[in-house]
Amino acid sequence: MLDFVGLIWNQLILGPMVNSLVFLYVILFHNFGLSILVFTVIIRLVTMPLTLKQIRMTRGMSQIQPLVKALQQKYANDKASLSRETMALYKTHGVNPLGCLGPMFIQMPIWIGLYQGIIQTLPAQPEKLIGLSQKLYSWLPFVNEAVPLNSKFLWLDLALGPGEQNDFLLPALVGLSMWAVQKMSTVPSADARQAQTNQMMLWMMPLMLTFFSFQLPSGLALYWVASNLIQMGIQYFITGWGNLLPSRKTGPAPQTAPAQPVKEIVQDGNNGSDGKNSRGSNRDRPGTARRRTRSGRNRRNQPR
Amino acid sequence: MAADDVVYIGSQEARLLALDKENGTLMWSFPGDEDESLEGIYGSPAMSDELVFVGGYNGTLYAVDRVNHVKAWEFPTEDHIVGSPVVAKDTVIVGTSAGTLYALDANQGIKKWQFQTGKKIWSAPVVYEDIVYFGSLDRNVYAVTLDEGREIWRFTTNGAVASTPLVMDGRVYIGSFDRKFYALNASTGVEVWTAPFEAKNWFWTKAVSDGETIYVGSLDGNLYALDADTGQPVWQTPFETGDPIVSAPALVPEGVIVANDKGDLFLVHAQDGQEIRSFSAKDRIRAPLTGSPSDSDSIIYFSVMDHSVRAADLERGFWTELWCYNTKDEARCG
Repeated sequence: MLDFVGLIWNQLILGPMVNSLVFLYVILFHNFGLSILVFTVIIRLVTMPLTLKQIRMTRGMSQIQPLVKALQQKYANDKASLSRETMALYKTHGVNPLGCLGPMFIQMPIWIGLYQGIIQTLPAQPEKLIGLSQKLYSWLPFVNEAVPLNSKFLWLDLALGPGEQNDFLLPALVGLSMWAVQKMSTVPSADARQAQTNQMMLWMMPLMLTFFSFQLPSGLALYWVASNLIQMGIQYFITGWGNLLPSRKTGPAPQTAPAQPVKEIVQDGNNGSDGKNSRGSNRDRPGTARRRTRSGRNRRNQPR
Repeated sequence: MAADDVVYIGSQEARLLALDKENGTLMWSFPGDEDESLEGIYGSPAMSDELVFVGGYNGTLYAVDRVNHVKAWEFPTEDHIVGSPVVAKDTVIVGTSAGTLYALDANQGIKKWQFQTGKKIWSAPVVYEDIVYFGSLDRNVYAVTLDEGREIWRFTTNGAVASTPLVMDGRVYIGSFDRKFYALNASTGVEVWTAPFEAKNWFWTKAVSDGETIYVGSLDGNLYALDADTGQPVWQTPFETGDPIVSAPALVPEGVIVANDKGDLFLVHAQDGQEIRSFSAKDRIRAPLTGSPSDSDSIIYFSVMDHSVRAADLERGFWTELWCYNTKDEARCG
């Protein structure tokens, strides 16, 4: 079974990844750093629909926080009803908490594959080069002829970990860019527990990646920095700077908003994404209008 | 490397071991506990009358006295040593991962000359009629003079050259990562065959020859037999081992013995490439198979990645393990 999984992994993830990296290396002036950067852009383009979905889901979740809060208050002593009504609320507003995690799960194999790909593409020891020979496609002769690859990029040896070459800048950039991504995408939550989790994630993810990037090949850290910068760009075009710039008011309705029964809120047409929720950008207003329409339609369909 | 009654081998624990050829008993080892670590030994040791030379992955070439087993001298280089050293006319020659080929006085370790290539040298140099032949990962095969390291010619392939050349009858036979195996005129570096032989994957190991046929393994898992004059395949089909061939094959009176990266050993008819018998070492074999220097018997010595060094007799095609030494436990295999 493990052999089968390994075979599938090699054929579907690692093989294409290694060959793509070497192919890009050949056409990008034998520069592995450029190869990783262009590879990152391609990966981000391929996963763009998922990224957009994640951002919209996260935003949608934040916008219904006042309604969730209201439900929590209303059904404080009835967990079954709370759960049922919360799910109904998600359905009504077309959001799914799991939808926020999709792109992250998609990226995990890419990270692992890229880590293995960089290790195998830039082998330090002779025996690892033998492993690379089994990954390169025989029908791409120029890929085979490009080996061994030059691992130098700017001040870095991409095959070595930053810790091995006393480089602190790249891990710092990894942590900083990850923090910025987290800061931009995290929205203040009405729920105290959620707010605490958000706060923890804001610091935990950057610290973890910084720690990992010290240990792992610099090529992977380069991927993280590039990937985070692209993520920031996408996030900006959809939601603006979010919480990154303190001067902008962001997030859902203030927690001080009066808690009303859900039905009343819906009937009022106030789903929590009105002007109060604006991130200082007009980009989200069409989406708000759509949700209002959906809410209206659902209201008509509600059983009496 | 087997010489006189001793087998010299670099262990996975980065130690040079001298084992009794008859029974595999450890006679001595280097370095001693008080010495520095070699970090790894990739190549085979080389020998002069009095010294054994071994290159460490730590980048230092060591000369060890064969009689009193102490370090005679050491020569630090700037990068890892992967390829084996070679000794010729009181000169020991070794390449480094910095792409430098060093020629040292074998007795004192003093540098005579150095020759710079564009990339790592993992190939062991071969000396033939006062010329040093070697490959570099910069895609070139080089021929330089033994006395002063002056370049005579270089032949550029389309891939890195990590394998050690086979030099005989005025020709240099060597394979490349471009999946081609070349025969070059040793004096001029001009190709001898009308076209190089092409395999399905890189050539990593040195070829062996009986004078008429070249036997060479490829990372495509096949053992090829090529006519030394024309480069045409001698066997109807190559012998398929099923896994990459990383170790140089060895010739024994019964045929050709070849190992793959999975640890399978095959004894193959030299004439038609038919399998006579196969054996399993149960772990990877990555060091060259070493035959007896006299070639009069069928004993091979080889190192397995399970931390063992083994001797086996293949007489009449039967596999008889003579001895096994565990380099990790420093004892005979359990």
